[in-house]
Amino acid sequence: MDYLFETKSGPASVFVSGGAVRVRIGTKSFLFQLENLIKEENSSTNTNSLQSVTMLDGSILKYLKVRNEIFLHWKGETWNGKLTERQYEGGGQTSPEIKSPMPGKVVQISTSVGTEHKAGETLLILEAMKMENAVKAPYACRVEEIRKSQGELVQQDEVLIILHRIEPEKT
Amino acid sequence: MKPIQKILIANRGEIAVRVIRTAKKMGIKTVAVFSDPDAQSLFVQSADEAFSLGGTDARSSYLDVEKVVKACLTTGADAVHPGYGFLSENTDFASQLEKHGIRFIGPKPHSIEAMGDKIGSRLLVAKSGVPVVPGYEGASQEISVFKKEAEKIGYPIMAKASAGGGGKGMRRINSPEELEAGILSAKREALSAFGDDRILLEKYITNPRHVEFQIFGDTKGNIIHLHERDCSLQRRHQKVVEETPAPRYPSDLKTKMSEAAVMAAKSVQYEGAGTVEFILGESGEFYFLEMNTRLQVEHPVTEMTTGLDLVEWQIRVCQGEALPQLQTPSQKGHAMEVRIYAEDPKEGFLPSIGRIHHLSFPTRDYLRIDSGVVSGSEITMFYDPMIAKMIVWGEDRITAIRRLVECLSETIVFGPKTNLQFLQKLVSAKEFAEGKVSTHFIADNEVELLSDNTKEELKLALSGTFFTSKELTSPWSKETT
Repeated sequence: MDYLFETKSGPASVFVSGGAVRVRIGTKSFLFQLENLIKEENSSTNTNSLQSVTMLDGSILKYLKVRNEIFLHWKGETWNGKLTERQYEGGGQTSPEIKSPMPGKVVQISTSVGTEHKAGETLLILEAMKMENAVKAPYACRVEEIRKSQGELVQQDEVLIILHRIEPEKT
Repeated sequence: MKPIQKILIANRGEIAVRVIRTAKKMGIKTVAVFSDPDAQSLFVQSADEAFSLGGTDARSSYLDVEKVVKACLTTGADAVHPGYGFLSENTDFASQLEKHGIRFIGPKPHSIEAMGDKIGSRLLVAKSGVPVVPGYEGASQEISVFKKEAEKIGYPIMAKASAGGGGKGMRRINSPEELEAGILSAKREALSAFGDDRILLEKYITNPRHVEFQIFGDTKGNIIHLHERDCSLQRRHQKVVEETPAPRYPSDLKTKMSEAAVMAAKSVQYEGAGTVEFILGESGEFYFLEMNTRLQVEHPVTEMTTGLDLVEWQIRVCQGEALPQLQTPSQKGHAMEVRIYAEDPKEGFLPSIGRIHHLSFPTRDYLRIDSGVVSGSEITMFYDPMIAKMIVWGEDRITAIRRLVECLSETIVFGPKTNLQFLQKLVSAKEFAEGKVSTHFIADNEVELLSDNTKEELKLALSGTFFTSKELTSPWSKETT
């Protein structure tokens, strides 16, 4: 799987395949073998909580995923990786956030948190100027968060729904 | 005097939580006051009652004397604990409360006023025999006069713009040969920066340490000290690490300084908790800097080594009780405190705001955490971005340092950037372990203190690895695998 992370010196690509990780920053490329780093991933069923991993040298790494961001804590250091918007490219929509295209009223929510959608499926219906407008999934996705409720008035560009893009497998 | 029934805490965050804790222990009811962004805060939930001040920033909420007084009258609080900062040294507030028969848990307004003015307090304590930094503040600006005065003070000296601030118009002068050029250049800079070229001279203290004494007075005129705190690790005059006892510190020096601290407090008939700050030179000379007429952020290190509850002392003294002892209590072991902030050391320590997705501290019997936030709390742009104070205790200084490094490395804050890593490097420094740091240490070693241990590419590799890994086992991964 190929990821594009934001770094201070521009985007960096991370390609994870089996036990190998290739990191490319600018023109430089680095290769890591996971077996040299990780001993075991301590399993947890709750994807929203803190996860911990035992590393080969006995140290514990902890991480937490929050939408398109991951936070890591290892050996007293904390850092975060933020996926750049290019991850979400497709169908003209580039952001994980679905924003209100106009001021209006949410008349129907046709999805729920955790539901998966194919590109083009209706997520919610927004009424404006007595017309109903369907807000559709811009790419294959899973609904992470619904910010508005039925009957609520919204302004233009207010965030309605936050999606997690489902990556097509590249292999 | 009637015992206090209900205390209103005119503050927020960590210190409000801390005051509530002691009040509860003493069976006293508590009232929290809060601004709009603080409505869901930990301190609001911890108090018995909460009163909305409205407003967002401090000026329109916690600093609004009228609103806070109204909150007292509405909730029937018979005393106010001001914490530190905000209204803690505001004499108008203290007087307003007095008018309404509400007790202010702090010194009398006249003591606050006397110590509030830097030059005034310097003259006042000097009169009672407390050493102040030798200097020349006379009217004459003749080079010949400066020369004579500089000889009296002794080199090196510091020439400072009378109207100065922010380091402008300041020159260090090492010898009589440098004097004329130094004064003239300081004058030129002062004139262009402040439109005023008057210069004063002060003795230059080489590699100074910042040492302060916790003092306590009651309404019967008793004043004692509760030992010293060393706060030499500073960044731009903000304390970063505080500890007690002060390292490398001869006991006769301590006796002299503690006597001076008590004298300074007596010069204003001090009541309640206060701190007398000194600057300490390399050869053991010390001078009065200022007196803080309130409880301080670093009071827990004193509590950790004496076993006292200073907030309880404040409340009891305010109720008219005499100090429980007129001897300085003995000190056990060594305590150290650091302030964990939501800030980005790599971006000039700018505050880093946002939601704290996860916050966890290690649990140890020698560790104390004073915090006003939890996982899910928001660090806003409106207030000080302090996340917590971490205080550790050890049998000796080296043990305390080792424990502090360990506790810092196990603390997790996900969300805003923090100074955790910077603090770890700082307290791990060899010079710090040897007790050889001055107030310049951080500025002199900033590059090393801000460096990372883990390389960028490894961080990215791990980020990528764990970003994918859970998806592969998640129930939604059917389509993607």
